[in-house]
Amino acid sequence: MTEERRPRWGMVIDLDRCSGCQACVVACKQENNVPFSDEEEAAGGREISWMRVMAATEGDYPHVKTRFLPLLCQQCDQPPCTRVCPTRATFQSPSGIVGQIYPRCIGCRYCANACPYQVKFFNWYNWSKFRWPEEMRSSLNPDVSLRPKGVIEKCTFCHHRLQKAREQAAIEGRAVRGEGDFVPACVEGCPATAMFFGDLDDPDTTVHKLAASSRAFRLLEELGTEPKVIYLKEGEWNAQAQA
Amino acid sequence: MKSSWVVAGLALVIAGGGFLAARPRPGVHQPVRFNHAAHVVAGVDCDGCHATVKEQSFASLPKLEDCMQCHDQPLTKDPEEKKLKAYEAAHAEPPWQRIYRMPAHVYFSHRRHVVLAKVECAVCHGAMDKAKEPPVRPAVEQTMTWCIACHQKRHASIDCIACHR
Repeated sequence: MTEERRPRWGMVIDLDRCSGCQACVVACKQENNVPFSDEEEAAGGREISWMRVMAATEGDYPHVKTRFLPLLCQQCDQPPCTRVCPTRATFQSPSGIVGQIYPRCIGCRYCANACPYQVKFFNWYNWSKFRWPEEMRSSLNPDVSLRPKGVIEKCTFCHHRLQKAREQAAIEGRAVRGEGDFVPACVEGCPATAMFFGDLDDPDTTVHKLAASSRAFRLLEELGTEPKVIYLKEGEWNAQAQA
Repeated sequence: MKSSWVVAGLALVIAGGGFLAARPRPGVHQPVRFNHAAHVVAGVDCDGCHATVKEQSFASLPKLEDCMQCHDQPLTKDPEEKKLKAYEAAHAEPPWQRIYRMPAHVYFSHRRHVVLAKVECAVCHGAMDKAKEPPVRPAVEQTMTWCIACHQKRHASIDCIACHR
């Protein structure tokens, strides 16, 4: 079905509200069948985590402060990863979401190296359903495939949820709403309501209003990647008050 | 000398071919020789047995209780029909075999195709209303090129992530 209006799906993360609880990380892993990794894997750089909470500790005792930044695929409007893909396995879909087609991917990892945010992950193991821990098998999400060995995987803004939202909207004879119909798992799971999702071009959505805030910034904006994940920086009052 | 080798090689190829042809044809074999045509004539629609085709992404296979809604009393003298009673007595479901399987990386919704796009079942599954025997192999070879040809014809999305997951 051709879309008459193509929403520009985007996310706003309020760093002032983020408590670093990692609920988004867990929600993402659960939703997208992201394989498990132990300490050894992580030390070897083989950990896969489409969503990570980056922590930076500043100051000296007793004036210590840790800042958190949830890091996921920035869903760039000018993605550097798609330009270097030799097989067009990674590409930008008409909905603006950067897709990754696993059977097309040859595992060259050009895209992972081109990505300035380091949010593309190489799958080192063959995760068939039968290698998944038995107690976790019944919670595998049937809407998301288990990625084969030797391909790159990454956050898709829970694109399968957009599919379902579109289908439901079509059944009800309307367009997908700019806010509410399609929500990625991390946003849904955030207990601090630090994350917002919607159509950045729709003036009625929360993300559109928040994106215009003076606190809004985008990661490595100077590279011209035009990310669709927008962060709201922490208020300076916090640091001043405690100093 | 050389030509005798060629003859021997040819003989081997022919013998091998004969051996392969003599083997039973591989395919899917159903527990009951289900006659699709007879059911359609009797006025049962596709979704009478494949119940979730309009509500879910998958089209389900019939449960024994669905069969028993009509076959509780025997309707024919066909020995295949008696098998249903045997399954009922054994408290077992007929082990229907799937014929069409999507690759794990493909997302396909029956609801989207049947209800929204109003695609006839026969477009993807062939003329099952004429099939007197259960099919042993897919009636339609469902390849990506075939999907895309239809999507282009009907102006449906050919965005890769519309179908790949």
